[in-house]
Amino acid sequence: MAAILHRLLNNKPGWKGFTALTNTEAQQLTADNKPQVVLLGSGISTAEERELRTFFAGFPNVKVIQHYGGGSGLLYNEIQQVLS
Amino acid sequence: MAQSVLHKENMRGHANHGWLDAHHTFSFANHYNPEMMNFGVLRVLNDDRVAGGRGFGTHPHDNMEIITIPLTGSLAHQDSMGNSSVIKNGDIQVMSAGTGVYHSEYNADPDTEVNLLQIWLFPNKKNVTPRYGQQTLDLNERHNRFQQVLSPNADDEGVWIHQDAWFSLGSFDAGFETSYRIRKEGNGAYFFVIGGKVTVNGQELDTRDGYGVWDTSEISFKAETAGAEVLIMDVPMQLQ
Repeated sequence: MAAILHRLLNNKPGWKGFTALTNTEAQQLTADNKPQVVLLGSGISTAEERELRTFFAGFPNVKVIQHYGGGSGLLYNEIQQVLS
Repeated sequence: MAQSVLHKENMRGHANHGWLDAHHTFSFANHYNPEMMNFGVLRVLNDDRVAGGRGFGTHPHDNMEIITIPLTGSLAHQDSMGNSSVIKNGDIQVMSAGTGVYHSEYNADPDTEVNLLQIWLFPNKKNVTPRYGQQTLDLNERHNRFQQVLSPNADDEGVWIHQDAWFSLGSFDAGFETSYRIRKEGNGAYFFVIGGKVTVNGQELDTRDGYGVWDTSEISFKAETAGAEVLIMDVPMQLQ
């Protein structure tokens, strides 16, 4: 699923996306790339999500949203909505 | 006092990919209209026409309650939970995507178009174990009444999902009048006209119009044409 989301994000002109499978990876990618938006997908436990949200609080310009649906259906909408 | 929102058929997003002719009541895929994002937890209402033998290849879903209602034709479904089936008019299918599932949907007929409604609701619980269900409904049970086809309860009429939502389908004689009672406080009802003309709380609606009503407990309904068909989606107005 992460590979598909990665492809979808990078297919959109002007957008660059990364996917992470662990909290450590997500934190490293955030620190290195300063993304505008972070989408939280499925498979993250409540404790992991709490840890991530605490970490992202240190990056006030990063908007953190839940990604629903899993594929392309809502992905672009979710990002457009938060960016606008 | 009751509040309402009207989505006329021609306000829907439209994407014609040749093999797929899709109308989106709410913003979906590359169609983005910030004024038409959702009705409560009802996030997607797609009216898809898929050419014979064509369809959606294997693709992922997570954290969404996905309901499919074929209107004409037949649709073949396969998923990563091991389910394989063909659904047709009179059937309803539900998939709780939860932690993640892959599935494909193809027109089961090589020559005849399939027309289906695909509806996505936000779940009331994240990361549930993926689940599949389908049921064949008795079409006679919806003549001049609202036949419940979906609920939050496994032992209730119709399929069930992880959300405090109730769906009903009805097919009516011209001039038939009744009312719809909202099933839970805090819910609203979204009427989608599958065919014909109806009047809901005084609002005239044509084929494929959508009309959401909330902050009320009872909604008046009148069928204006013979065989008018409507789908009611009774859903929480607040996301959990």
